[in-house]
Amino acid sequence: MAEVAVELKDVSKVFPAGRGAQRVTAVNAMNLQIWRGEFFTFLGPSGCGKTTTLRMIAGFENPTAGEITIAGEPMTDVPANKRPVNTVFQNYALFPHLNVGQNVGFGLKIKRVAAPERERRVKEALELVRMGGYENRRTTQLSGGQQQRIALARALVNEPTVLLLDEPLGALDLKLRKEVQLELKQLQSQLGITFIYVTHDQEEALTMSDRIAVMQDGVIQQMGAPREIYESPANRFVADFIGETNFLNGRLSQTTPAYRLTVAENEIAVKPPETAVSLNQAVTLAIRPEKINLYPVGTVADLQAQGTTAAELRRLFQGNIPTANSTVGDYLQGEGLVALPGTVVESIYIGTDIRYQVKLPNGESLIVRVQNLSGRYDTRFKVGDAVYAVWQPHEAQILTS
Amino acid sequence: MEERRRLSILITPSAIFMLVLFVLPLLIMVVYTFRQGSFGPTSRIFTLAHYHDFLSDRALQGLLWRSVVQSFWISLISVCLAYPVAYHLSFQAGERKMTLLTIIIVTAWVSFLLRILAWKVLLGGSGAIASLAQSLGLSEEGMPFLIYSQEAVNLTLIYVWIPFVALPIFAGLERIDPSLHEAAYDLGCSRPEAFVRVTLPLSLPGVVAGFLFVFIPTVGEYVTPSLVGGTTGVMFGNIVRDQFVRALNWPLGSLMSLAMLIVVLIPLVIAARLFKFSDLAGL
Repeated sequence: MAEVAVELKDVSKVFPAGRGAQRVTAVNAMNLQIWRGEFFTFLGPSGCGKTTTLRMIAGFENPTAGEITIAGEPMTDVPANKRPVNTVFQNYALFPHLNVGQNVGFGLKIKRVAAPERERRVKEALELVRMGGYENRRTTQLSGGQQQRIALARALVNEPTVLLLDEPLGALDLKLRKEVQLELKQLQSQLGITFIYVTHDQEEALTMSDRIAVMQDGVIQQMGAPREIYESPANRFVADFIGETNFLNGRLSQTTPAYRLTVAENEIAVKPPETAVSLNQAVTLAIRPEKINLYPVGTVADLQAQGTTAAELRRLFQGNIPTANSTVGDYLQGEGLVALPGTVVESIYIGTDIRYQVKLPNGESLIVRVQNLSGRYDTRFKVGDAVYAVWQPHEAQILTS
Repeated sequence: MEERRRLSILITPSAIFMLVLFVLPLLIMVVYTFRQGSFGPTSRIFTLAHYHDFLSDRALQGLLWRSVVQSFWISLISVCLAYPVAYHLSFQAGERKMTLLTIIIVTAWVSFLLRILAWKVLLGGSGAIASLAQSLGLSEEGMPFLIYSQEAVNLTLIYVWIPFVALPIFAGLERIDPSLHEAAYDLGCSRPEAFVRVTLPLSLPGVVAGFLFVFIPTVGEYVTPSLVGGTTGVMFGNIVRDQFVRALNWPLGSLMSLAMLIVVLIPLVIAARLFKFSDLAGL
């Protein structure tokens, strides 16, 4: 079993009511183990308690209850300046009265590291973040991306057991942010330091993290690897917060031999839920927009009459074009796919994808993302077209909360 | 061009105001330094005699130097006493911040003269401090204990100036991003280390502004010395006043004022070189 870098035991943080402020439970009885060398992310909307958790680990806030240990040492009576952690702040918090070299060497100077060694390590740290030779620059002369790197170097130069990052990329523009995300991830695997990262950006969390804790109202809603969080969200909040999700109201109509669900006036096959669900229970079915495919209605002959090419038909039917008078619906049923009939009510071209809104017979609607590939029949639907919304039974998930 | 014309129209009123009320009087003062007499026919004779008199009068120069040194110490002590006030206000006062700030501002609003007179009573022969000293047997009855001395002037001025110094320092401290303190702790600083390495250097513009707020008017101070200074507490400003009001030697008085102005400008220029003006002004 991997070594524990940071452990939270029943940690709570309550901010008492003050002038004009209500009593707030920012973090509620959190239990957590973060492994050594892990890239761990707290993800959630603002006010979910993620930053408070990070600040408690850093020592800027004291837990109201519970205990935090870092590398096995209880941190209850250890002030921020004595903890084996360093922080990269959201606004970088570079010292404006010091130049780049002095900023990066600040922690070493406080620890009375001799000047020659300090200079060497500052130089190494700056080279690590690709800012070599910037020692004598003023921090105010640097761009946001450069300041972010200096903040990173200033923390890493102290060789912390754990590096805490509080939305460090929030102030960067999208393109730079994507670049730095990859750099941070590379840096982390290269150095092997535990990174604890806080963000509200789900894409950022998915890109970089080994494990993600999705938080809301001071409670971890789900904790797991990015794929796990995205593919099998534990509840409606996680499914909605991470990426885009369609929710359909359903009722469980069969549990043996296989699970079947009534949604949008149709009975469909579904994979068994993670939690216990009884027959006839009202549940929510979650399905990602990119997991849904759209098929035309009618017979193969109808499609050919509309001018659909042989290549498009082959792609549509996975290479096996059915006989001319068989319907698309029959084909889909035969393949064991879920197919809900509907009507296209909106079609938006967004470059990489086409985004459709499909209205189902009971009035609920689905968002469908279709990749904009050439030779695909399903990129050409128009508003008013009758379609089937199609997915594999295991792609959709039953949620009870 | 259009932009420039609009700008020049906008600044014209304030430029006229400055010209008429500051630059012109200053020029008149400089002209006066060259006149032989204050008024009448002698005032139309131009001479460098007063320059010769002033430059050869060691006593007068000595008094100016003494007033500058005295003002320096008054300013320094005011800054040292006001800093903890501003620090407490900015970092420790919490919800009482506004209340305390209001008290300080209100104190600063009370008439300058009234506050000096209060000290005159306090320090006087029958004042609270003298009475206490008498009851402890430290001094005889009716003896002016502290009043009419340079120390009395210093004490009074420091008291008067503290709120004026505390405010720019407070403004300077408030401008420091709180995450910089956290960054200092995060990088291993104890509280005193964080203060010395981060808070203090970043609050320096406010400190210098506060220092100058006190230093500049104190060099020319004459009200306080004349009320609580007695004969030993005389400052350069009193002599300047005497030249105008008693000796009626306006040219020498003007020259002494000019000398004082130049002395005061030196630290101002140094401060302006070291810091951005916007930082000093607390903007």
